[in-house]
Amino acid sequence: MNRILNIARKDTLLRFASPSELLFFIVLPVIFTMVVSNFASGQANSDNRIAVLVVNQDGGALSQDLVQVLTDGGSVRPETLDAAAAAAQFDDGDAPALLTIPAGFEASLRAGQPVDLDLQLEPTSVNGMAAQQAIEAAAAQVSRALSAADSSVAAAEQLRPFDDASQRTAYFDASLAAAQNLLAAAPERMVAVAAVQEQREEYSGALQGSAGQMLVWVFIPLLGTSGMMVSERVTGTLKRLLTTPTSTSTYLLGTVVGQYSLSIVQMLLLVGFGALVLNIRWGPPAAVLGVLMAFGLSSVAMGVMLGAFVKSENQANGLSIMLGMVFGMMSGSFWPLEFFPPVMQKIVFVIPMTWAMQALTDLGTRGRDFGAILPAIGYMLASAVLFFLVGVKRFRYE
Amino acid sequence: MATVEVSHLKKAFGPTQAVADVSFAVEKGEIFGLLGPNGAGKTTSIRLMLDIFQPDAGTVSILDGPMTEAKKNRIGYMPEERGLYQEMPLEACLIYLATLKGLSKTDARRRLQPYLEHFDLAQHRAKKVKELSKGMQQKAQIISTVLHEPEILIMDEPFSGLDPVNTQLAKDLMLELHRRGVTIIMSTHIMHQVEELCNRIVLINQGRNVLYGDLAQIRREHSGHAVRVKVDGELPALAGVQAVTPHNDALQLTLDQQTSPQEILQQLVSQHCAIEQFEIALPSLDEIFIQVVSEQ
Repeated sequence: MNRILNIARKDTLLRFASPSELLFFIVLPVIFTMVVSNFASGQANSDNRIAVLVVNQDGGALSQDLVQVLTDGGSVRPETLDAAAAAAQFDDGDAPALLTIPAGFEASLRAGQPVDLDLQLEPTSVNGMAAQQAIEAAAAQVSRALSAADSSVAAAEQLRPFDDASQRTAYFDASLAAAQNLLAAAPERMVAVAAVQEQREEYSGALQGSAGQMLVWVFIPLLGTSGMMVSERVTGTLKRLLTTPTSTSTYLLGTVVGQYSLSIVQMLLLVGFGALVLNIRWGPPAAVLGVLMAFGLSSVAMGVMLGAFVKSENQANGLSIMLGMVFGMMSGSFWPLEFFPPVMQKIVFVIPMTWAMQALTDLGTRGRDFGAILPAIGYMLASAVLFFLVGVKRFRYE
Repeated sequence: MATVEVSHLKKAFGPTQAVADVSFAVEKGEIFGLLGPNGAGKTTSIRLMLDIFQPDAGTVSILDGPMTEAKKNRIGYMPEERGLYQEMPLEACLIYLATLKGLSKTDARRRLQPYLEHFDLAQHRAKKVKELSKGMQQKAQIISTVLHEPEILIMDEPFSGLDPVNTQLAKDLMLELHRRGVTIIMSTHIMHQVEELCNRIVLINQGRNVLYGDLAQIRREHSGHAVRVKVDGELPALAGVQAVTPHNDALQLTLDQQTSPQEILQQLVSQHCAIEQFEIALPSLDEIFIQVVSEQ
């Protein structure tokens, strides 16, 4: 046991031989966690409505009603500007749609004449198409109120003609206001019914960013265990070990214990930072610890396996970084898995990091308990055993 | 029973026969030289002795039997390459290596201090190994080999990279350990170091024994029929001398087969020469080495 601890201590000394290692151990993970968590939270809390630039050349009550109906619809965010500013923003790609309400809009409508709205859309933009639908729906709502007011005036004239044009206009305005109120108060034809959900399921950008960054920043140095192994092989220190009563399993255990212990410390620091600074609710502590421990074992065992195959320290370090980034991207650590096509969402579960990320998300945002994440822990432990066995079998001293 | 006994070792790496047939025995408490040109199979033979490699054929007996894990703590091995952790502070590195040899950290630290002072490394103890010169690293290697007080010391090119002062320090340490009864096996291709230290040698070439035995005996066996003479003044004409060649500040006289060194000495005395030096001309180990290897 002493020998294992001595090897672990030696590896710790070697890893922190340069103060810059602290940068990778805690400083950069914290900075990236903050940046990515804030970005993800910002994405989650930002106004997701589609921007629509509006040039209101009419300025009458009906044109303002049209803009208000657009706003109330909730799917677009109209922004009224003068023609030049709107054109400039549209050209810059700041919004996918530019709506121009022509002068004489209200007068023509009151006269019962059709009016063409000028709508420019960004080509091939899905958001532009969505904005077009929202504008058409809003125009239809305004038209329905006008039709109702026209019908009302016609019906009133059949009963008793108006004394003069002003009496007729006043009746039209009153009818239009009543129609608009009735339309606004009309119930939706489609009602969404949702079951009462007892469990918390709320996307947390901070948790997504923090958990993802933690897994990637811990995974890369654990895979870097391969670099330490190949360095010992190349410099001859491993051969020297053979002249001591130190078995292969003792050496590997010492190496694994050292790097694994450091990874647990690193993960606990990052979890603590997330909880205290970013107010992340990670979920049941025992379950979170279980996920982190299983993930650490799986990752360090992968490092041992890699160490048996690589030929140089540079190769090991390059592969560690590359695999860390690729696995990070594919495991949902950089963005939610829901962004992937359905088939891909299933394939990526071959990567242990995906299970870890999913388990942390389940615990933190879906309110799951220890039992629910046991399959994830089981998969990671099984992969750890497999990687370690391959690493031991292919281990070489030269 | 010999402390180390190597019998008909063979080891190939793919198509390369690194060791073809090597045998020797090292007695307890002696300094034994394992010699050979580069690539002769010295390092492979050592690694076979230490159980780092398994031989294809042949046997190794060390400390009365095959190598065991327990015996490894009784052996000190200094590899040819610098098997030290370059990024570790010197003291931490040496203590770590000593703990792998069964010492506690406290014992290792206590034993380390006099060695650091002996080799003038005490003020560099906190420096990283990579910050030390080649010579300092070699001295650190020697310390790490002897710190656990082994019964057998196996040193592969122990003086490589050392200046004359540090070479002498290392030799003094080896002689001191020899006086304490430690068995020392020294592998090298620098012959004059062997002549100073070793009692017996084995010379390996192309993976096979070519010379083995007592060093003085080997030199006698390879001596030519010659004497070295230094006289005050001119050397007179002597009967039975085939050739006279300068050798350092003396002259080497090659004799014909019928003339003995004693007859030459008698001639010098009878001619009233002031003799300053007269000796049988024994070849140096370098000369024997070159002769034997070139014959091979």
